[in-house]
Amino acid sequence: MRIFVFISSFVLLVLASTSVKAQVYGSNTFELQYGNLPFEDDRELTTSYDQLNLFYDHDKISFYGRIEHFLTPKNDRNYLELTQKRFQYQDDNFRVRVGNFYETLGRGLLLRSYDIPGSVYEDAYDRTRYAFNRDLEGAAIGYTNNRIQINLLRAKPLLNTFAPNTKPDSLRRPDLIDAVQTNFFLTEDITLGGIFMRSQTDGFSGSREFGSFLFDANVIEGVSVFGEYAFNTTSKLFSFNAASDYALYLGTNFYYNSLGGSLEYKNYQNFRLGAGYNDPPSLIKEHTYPLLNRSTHVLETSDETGIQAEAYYNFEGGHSITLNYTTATNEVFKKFEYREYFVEGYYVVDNFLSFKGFLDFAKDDLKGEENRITFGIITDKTFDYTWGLALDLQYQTFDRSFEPDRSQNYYASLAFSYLPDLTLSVVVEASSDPQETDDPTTTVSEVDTRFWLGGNVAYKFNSDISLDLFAGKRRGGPACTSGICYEILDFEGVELRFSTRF
Amino acid sequence: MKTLKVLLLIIPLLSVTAFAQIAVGDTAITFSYDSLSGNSTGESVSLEDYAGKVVYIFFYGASCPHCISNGPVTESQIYSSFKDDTNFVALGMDTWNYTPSANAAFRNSTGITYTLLLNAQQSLIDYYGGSGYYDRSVVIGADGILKYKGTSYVNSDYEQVIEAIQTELDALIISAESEPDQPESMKLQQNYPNPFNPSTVISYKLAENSRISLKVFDMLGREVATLANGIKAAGSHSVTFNATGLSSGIYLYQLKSSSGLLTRKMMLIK
Repeated sequence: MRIFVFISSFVLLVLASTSVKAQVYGSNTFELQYGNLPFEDDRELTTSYDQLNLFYDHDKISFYGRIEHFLTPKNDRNYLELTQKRFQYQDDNFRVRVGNFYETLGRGLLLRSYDIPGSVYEDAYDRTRYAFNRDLEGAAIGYTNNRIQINLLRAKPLLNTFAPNTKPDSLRRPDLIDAVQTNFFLTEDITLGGIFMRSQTDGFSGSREFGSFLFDANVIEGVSVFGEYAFNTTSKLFSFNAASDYALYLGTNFYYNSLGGSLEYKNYQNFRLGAGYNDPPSLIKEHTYPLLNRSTHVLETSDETGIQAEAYYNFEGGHSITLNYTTATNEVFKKFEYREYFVEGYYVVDNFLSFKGFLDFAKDDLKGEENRITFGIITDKTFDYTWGLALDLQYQTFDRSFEPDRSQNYYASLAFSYLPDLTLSVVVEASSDPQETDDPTTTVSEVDTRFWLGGNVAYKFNSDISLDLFAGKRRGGPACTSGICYEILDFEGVELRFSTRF
Repeated sequence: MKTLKVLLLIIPLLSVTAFAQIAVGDTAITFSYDSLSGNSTGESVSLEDYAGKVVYIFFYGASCPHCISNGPVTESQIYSSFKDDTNFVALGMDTWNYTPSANAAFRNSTGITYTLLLNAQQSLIDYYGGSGYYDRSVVIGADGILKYKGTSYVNSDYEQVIEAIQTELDALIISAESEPDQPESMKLQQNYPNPFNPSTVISYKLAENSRISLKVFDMLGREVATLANGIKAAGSHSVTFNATGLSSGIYLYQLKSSSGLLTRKMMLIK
């Protein structure tokens, strides 16, 4: 019912608005899938998912709503929900938000919310699809001037492992948070801040209280330092031991002419808050290369320490080189170590031809992978600015201590672009990893090399309307986007995506 | 008008999902899954196979990073504490429905030695109502009733899990060693508190003056303390056992006299 109230209100709002300052805009993503539904006898399934985002701005006032619709032949999975709604008032100093909004406290050690536009999450059990975001539902008031910034909020973060049609609603928002964050801009280059947060979780008596100190400073030209220390108020301050609940993050960025880099340190202990509404910086290189992105290390805030160091140099002519070193150690009851060395080079031959290559060496105790070597090369060639070819070849191999043979993964894609609107591509992947399977319902280890072959057509009708068509088999696995890690499910079939902005 | 056109694309269909799930106090929902044997499928295991036993279940995802990181606690803290008790069984259940090889990797990384069951996602739906919950502990009593249902990762609530298992096992001991079965000449009470840290009180009653010994043993049968030894007067006696210096786990305390031998279990949690 509320969805129709919302739509009616929105339409009335638009019709009633005669001011030239008023603006209505939005976006829509429609996805149609026909294909494999694992874990059930009835595996062929047609589903459609639609996400509509509507915005109405009038001077300092704005309204926002998101409607999601999922449709399958199975009625118990279908839904049409108003999943987000927001009223906002904003002027030069104040911002007031009521409804669903996004706010990250400090660097996310205590609370992080996010929305990854266009992403669609798929439930592992029944493949129900919905928007992948973690919004806060409640109210927030912010004030800022040249010297101080204050934010107060009382809200319930979304637990996004549950689909919008999960009942009761309270399952999707088990935590209630009250928080205040204050930042002091001591100079143009130095900011100090503090956070106090109280959290209550459904099913648990009482509340937990947390504090945080943060700083951000430009020390000299080209060098900045920053960090945050968050803690449970029942733990002894600056007590970095296994019995304490804390998260410490420190970092520095630097650049000098064409040379730049960063060094970061993390130390998180007993710091998975509530149902998991915080996301401290993971300090793990987020690769765009499919084989490496899938091999990522996922942060474990119960106990994790580590560093990440990165350096880059940009040469004249557009060439560049990047070096990255990452370690992460988990020791809840057993020590697991992750270590990765990465180098990437980009070479521009001329305006029509470029090469990018990478080499990565890693060990990952959590996955039982040792001596993991990954490398690849991407060639991008354009012809007369009218059409282009891109060839992406990647290879990965590693040992598992208890398996006799080294596992190998292959990735290759060939993309043809008729610039700037049409792209046709073919992706083939192969794996000898016994953990990978063609048949998700099987309990038999498959030893032969498995293949995934898929084709994609992407076409932009104009700057606001685009179409993506995929057909074939797509390989799933872990993936990370903007520091948020999740599991992508295997898919075999046809998928059509139609995106519009208006 | 553009907005309205987009709205018309949406078919007005509204329904809800309300997965069934059970609560503490409900009868546990049965299951039957293939077990992991080596790197492949082993024999089928069902809940009915363990009727009359206290069953601990670890719901995990075979490639779920925090499940791998937290899994060792189920072995070193929970399973190791009770594995010698014939009334106890532990099961791991893969709720990601991953391959046997992925589960073998999980077992190798976590060091888990108890039975792992494959393709068990349906049980996660049955017990939690959704596939979003994993890295959870569940305890089923010998009477087939759900006694404990974890609401956080297994490294967060393992002490409560141990307490729930111990309570269920104690109930079995008490029913098996009910008071009338104890000889008239002496009685040995359950220690209090139990579980304990670091001290607990053990009480016993003698019908007549007797030469007794009251000793504490670990699960390997090694004597770790002598609490009483010699002639004791008829009547009730209590002694405090301080376990400082001992590691967490189950210990046996044994009252011995010329008229018999009485043994009970107690749980030390640090």
